Amino acid sequence: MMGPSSSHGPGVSSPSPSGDAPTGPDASSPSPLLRDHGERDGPPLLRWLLGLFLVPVGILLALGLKGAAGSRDPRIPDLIAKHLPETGVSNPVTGVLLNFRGYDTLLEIAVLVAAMVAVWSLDRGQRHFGLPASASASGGAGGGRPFLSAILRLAVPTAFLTAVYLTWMGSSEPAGAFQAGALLAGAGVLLSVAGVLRPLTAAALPVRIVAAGGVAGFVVTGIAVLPFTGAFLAYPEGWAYPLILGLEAALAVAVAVILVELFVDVPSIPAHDAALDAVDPYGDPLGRALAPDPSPADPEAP
Amino acid sequence: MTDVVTTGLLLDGLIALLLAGLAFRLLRTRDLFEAIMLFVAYGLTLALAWIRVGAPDIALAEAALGAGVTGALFLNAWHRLAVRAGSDDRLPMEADP
Repeated sequence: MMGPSSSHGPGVSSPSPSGDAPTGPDASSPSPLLRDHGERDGPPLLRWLLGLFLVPVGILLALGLKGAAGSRDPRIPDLIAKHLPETGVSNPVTGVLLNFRGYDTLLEIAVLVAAMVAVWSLDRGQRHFGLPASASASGGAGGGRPFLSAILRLAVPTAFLTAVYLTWMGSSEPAGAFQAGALLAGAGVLLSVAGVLRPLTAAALPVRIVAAGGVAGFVVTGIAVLPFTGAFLAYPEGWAYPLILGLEAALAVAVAVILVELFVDVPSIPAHDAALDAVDPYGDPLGRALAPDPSPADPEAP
Repeated sequence: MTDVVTTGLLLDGLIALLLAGLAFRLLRTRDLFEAIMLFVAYGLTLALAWIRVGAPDIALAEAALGAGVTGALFLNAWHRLAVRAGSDDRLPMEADP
């Protein structure tokens, strides 16, 4: 179905124009991380055996799914419906996620923070991201690119407004902080790519504070309510709605910052980057640094 | 009434077939860029499926996080690994190593 596309062009081994990026084997095969394993997936017999093994696995999975479909405790929906007024919100999903099982959401945002820390800890060396500041400074938002500029003006305010709406409506309608955060992150990524927003880095203290804000808000709230209700994250009566709304807002912003951070704070692979620059220093439509600055932040480059 | 049910069944069947077809192509393709595009299409179709089973929350999350953010992350990674040779944007996936 998918025929082999002869899409690689010439020029892969063109020499470095500036001369300071390394040439040689690294430069001529600049994607050491990408290999076509197509024909080298193992002997055909092994692949057939693997396929045979997968048939019973698939049947077992299907049987398990069939069993799971009928095993829901029939009392749960009624229980939720009965206690929904106590949660402070009218949307049952939000009621479960932010009140009955608030620790679920706490752990979810903690996983995101951990992912950001992991990416951040991988990062050493320079980042290639976003149009250079000069491009946006010379032409306003979008750097004199009319299409980009128009998209930014339409999409960013819309995304922002929709995100606020989704956070707000999460208490009564199907919506919530994670969806709102993802939308905000989309706007943030767009702004970063266009060079309007300076790319976030986890090293910046405000970024760290906001990114940790979701988890911190949950933990602080959870402990603060202890003397009143005697249980972690059990909100005192009458306080559930404002607390949930506050937590949702903190969550949405934290999710947005973490996702933008995951997107733009890309770990650099020095040898790989040097090889890419050698092949095509200006070839990144996302706008990798137009004037690659080779050495200082790149100590591991050969 | 039966018309509504039939239309619903048709729609569900279409979505299910589309999902299976997209997944198959996604797994078969050798072109990373195409794989990413198929992944995004798969995510959006899956969001439709979630709406059909009455879970708009998950549909929203799938569209925004599954298709949107993850697709953008894949594109970013693809681009970091890609080599643009001439006017051709595609990866030299079929090139001999």
